[in-house]
Amino acid sequence: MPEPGAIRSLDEAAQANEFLIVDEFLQTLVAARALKTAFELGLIDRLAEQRSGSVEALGRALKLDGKGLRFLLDLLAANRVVEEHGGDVRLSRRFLQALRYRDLLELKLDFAGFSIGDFADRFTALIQNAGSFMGEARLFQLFDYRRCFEPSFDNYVRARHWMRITSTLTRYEGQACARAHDFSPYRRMLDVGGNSGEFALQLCRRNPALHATVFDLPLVCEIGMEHVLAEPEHARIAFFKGDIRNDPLPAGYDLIAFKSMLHDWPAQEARQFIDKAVRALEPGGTLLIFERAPLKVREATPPLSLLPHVLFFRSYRPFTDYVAELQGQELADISHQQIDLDMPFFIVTGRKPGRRGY
Amino acid sequence: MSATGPQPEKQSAAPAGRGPRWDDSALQTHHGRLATATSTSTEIVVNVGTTHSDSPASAISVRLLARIAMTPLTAKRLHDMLGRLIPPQEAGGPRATGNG
Repeated sequence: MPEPGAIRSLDEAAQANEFLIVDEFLQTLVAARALKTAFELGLIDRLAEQRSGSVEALGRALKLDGKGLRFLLDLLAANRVVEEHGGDVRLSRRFLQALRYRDLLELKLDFAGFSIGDFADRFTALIQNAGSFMGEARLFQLFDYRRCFEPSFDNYVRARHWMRITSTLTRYEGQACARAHDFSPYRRMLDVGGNSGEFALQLCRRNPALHATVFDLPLVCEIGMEHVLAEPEHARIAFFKGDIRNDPLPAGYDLIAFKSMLHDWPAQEARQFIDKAVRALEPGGTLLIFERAPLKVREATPPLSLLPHVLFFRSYRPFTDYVAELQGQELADISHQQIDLDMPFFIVTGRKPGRRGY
Repeated sequence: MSATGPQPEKQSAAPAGRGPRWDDSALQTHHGRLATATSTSTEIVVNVGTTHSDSPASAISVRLLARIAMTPLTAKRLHDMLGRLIPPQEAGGPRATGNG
């Protein structure tokens, strides 16, 4: 991680995956909860706007009693969110750097907070009986794809809730993928399970010649269309409503991508999806899998920020599983690349034999 | 999509000297199927768009029709009006007027 002040531009910051800095402030439950309270009370906004303030002035502005504010500030100071000098409170330089990724920081706070109950109450079930855990866990109810067909308002609100999570994570993970793989040769991309179109958006933004189609469930596509509407790249991103379990994939793409999608499905379904994608892919085209790898919990206890992914631990496969699938599909030039973000990721690619016809 | 305008200047039927006189010479009417909003510290921006598909079985593309920026106060009033208009609409009942 670069030293504070070492990063000169947002582009350089992105290259260094500087957004990972947000995890420094989300290590433990107490630290993260104190930070969330600071957001909820408007303390972070006030300090960000006014640079600094006395404890007394903060107490008056936020309508907090001295003891409560003191306790909160001490927790925030222990987490290096704030610093105090001569009675003045200010945000630390390091936290101000993290605040550049506020959407990610707040999303991770919310997502981890949402997962705490499942971890605290049902971790034994997760270890002992995955089926029973999945039936009871709030986390799995949140990502209930069965409610992504009917366009009722209730379904819309639910889908938008979890799509905020996936879109925000993808905004940053997608940039890391775009830096690790050269997308410039591709012209037409199909993003299977492409969700809000955020991954397609990141790639189109960096590759002006690229056009993308997002294939996903009907309601997901509806929300995705809203997601990209205001973006300059919206004219290059289309949506195709379908259910990969039952519908054929559209043809005519030189790149078909799966981003953090295959781990949601058992091995047999994942294999079928890959098979479908290979059949739809243009000869000479590339199949790309960008996925989460298993957590390395033996090396270090995961921080609170990774709690949702701890609950999904059964879903993550090693890259070798996907390499074997692509070999079974007789793809050529199969390669893999590991990317360390807040957790391990990998990119696996393979080329469909034949000449490019575009 | 259907859009109308710019039209020759015309004014509302309100009698002269009573009520506002609307200059709608720059008016455009869009039938938006998508609407989103974003905000900055000084304004709320509403984006209105539509979708297009060559056939029911082909990919759907998105088209931005209009972007309207307004002050937070105007947005708050619009929000209030929409809040009053939508429930009767969903219930199939009569629509309240914007100022009702």
